[in-house]
Amino acid sequence: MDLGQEMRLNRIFDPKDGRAVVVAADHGMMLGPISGVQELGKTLEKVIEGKPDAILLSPGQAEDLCHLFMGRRAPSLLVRMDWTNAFRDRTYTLPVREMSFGPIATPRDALRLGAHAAVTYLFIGQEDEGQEAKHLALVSRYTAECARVGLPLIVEPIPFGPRVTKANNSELVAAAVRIAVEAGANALKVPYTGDPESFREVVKAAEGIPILVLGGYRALSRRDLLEVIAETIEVGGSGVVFGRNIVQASDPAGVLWDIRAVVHDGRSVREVVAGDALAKPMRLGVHPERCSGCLICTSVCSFYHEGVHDRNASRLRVEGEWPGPFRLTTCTQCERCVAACPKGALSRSSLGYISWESERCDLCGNCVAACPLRVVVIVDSKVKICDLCQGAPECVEWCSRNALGVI
Amino acid sequence: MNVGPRMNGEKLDITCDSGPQLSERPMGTGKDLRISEFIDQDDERSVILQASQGIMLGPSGDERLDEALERIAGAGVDGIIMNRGLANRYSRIFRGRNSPAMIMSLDWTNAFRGSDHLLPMMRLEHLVLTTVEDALTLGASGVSAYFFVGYEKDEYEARNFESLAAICRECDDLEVPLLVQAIPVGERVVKENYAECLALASRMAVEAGSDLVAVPYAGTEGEMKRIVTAAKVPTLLLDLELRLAEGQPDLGLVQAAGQALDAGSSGIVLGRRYLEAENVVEAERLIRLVHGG
Repeated sequence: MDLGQEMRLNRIFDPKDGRAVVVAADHGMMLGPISGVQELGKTLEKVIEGKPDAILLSPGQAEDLCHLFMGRRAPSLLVRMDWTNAFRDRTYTLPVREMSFGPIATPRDALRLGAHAAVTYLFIGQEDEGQEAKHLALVSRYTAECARVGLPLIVEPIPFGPRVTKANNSELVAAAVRIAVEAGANALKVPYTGDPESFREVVKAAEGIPILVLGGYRALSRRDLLEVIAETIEVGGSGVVFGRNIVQASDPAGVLWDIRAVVHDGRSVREVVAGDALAKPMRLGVHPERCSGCLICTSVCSFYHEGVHDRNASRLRVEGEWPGPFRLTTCTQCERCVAACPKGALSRSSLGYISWESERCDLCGNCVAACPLRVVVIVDSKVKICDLCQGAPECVEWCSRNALGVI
Repeated sequence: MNVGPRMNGEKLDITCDSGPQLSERPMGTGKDLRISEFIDQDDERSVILQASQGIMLGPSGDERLDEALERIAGAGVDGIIMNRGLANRYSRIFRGRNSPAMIMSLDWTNAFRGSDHLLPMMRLEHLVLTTVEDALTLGASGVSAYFFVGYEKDEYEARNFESLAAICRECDDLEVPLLVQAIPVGERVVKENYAECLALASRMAVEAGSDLVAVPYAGTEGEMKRIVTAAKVPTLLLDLELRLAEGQPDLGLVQAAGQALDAGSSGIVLGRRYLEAENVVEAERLIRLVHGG
């Protein structure tokens, strides 16, 4: 793989574990504004709070929603380069009569949009075998062009058509995967074959090219969804590309946190489902551009902890003059204060937040000095450190502009 | 459109012949996305390290570049300027979303060969070596090029500006952000006209279409402010390790950086001395100065 392809793929697959959690939100181009993608920008804002590694969009939406992908903490951008009517089933307004597909963008278009990878389908199993040949020709051209411009190509091999049956489906998935790999795919987006044994064969067929399992149209319960992911990871899968199960969820970020726990943190499904609320790594996130400078957050912070409205005792800081811009500074839970405390008066409790024990503290001020953001303060002989309000931050709850959130 | 400098003289044909030619469509958000890979989105500032001098000066001392790059990446620089040869070798420095962004240097000059160099500069030369397309293909988040004013012959300045303009057009075409290092050089530049020359160089770069400029220290905070304001694009303080013109003001980088930031500039481009282990503490200090905390 070329350097550019490798570097861009590394922004999708976390170099630490080689795995990725990707959200697909390109349905509108094939199916129109189905639920969840009607106001895609709004949905994706919620999705991004769940920290997906990448999001798949059509070229038009990628251009429109560019701002959501800015910055190093933002997800990477995947752009779909082809279109198909294959997913318009019998219940759809215009059910598919003749399956069609075709290119709608080039690798160069995707690269100009700032994409970190491009995505294309590869259908096999149609009645007219010329169609399969045509599709493979397109994929081959894409692989060559992608290599030339340094853009990784993610191929989505899908068995489709009347020759595909329940009995031969998993073998056909494995075959399609191998065809895509030999054509030059850098990563794959693959339907689940239904059980770990057959999926192991699919992983084997990929010859080491990373495989992301896709969710499909079935709305799964949160537990089932996590079970599917855990099974595929167990047999060598590299993560997920989930669409409707996330963009149509009432709490997309919550679903993503759970998926990340299984994919990236190696947690078992049982752990995730049981320990849902308590064990999530959590910190405050800010959107300073939304802040109106009303200072309710600083006020409610001291009120929750001390019972008084005293902004100087607040564990977060708002700076700037009306009408803005304002600078919001919140604790990042970096624990430098905990490390700096010589008396052990500060610790992260088993419930995941930092707590202060007054009996052990001699008010030496090391924690205040250690805080890179200066959000640790000592007021009235008490050390004020953000404890995330024991898991339900009041500042987030009270902010009317959603300038504060939990990430 | 094929106006960019191309090493092999051929236009790359990557259109998809069975589909519509969407490359002609005016889309383009890639620049914004790629800039955001090395300008911090919270404070809109950046610290970039220049590690591309080897192609102009040769190696420095007994450096271990891979170790040095890892050290400075760990210190938290937002981007590192590299040449294509070593970018290839040390790609692991840039792995993942939390690593510094790779910015590829496109050109070469002998301007930085001072009197203590093996081959001190006699006549200023400048040359474009790499295309924007190659940089993008190799995974760069941006590209960097030099623009000098004060050449001995006016024709050389014209040639430099012509190549810069070609790079700008190719950057627009491919949606790649361009950082121009605008530098006054030569005997015609004196103390009295230094800031003027700097303002000229940076404004020319901006008008040609550069997305960011880096300029050496102008002498006073007021002059810095004038240049930053006139530039209209994010302006970084360029850490010139060498005196390139008579009038070039000398001020410690930390002090100059403080003034430049007060004057509204968006960060610093650190010189290669910060690759040395003994200077990492100061680099970290400068990074804190730029990003706060």
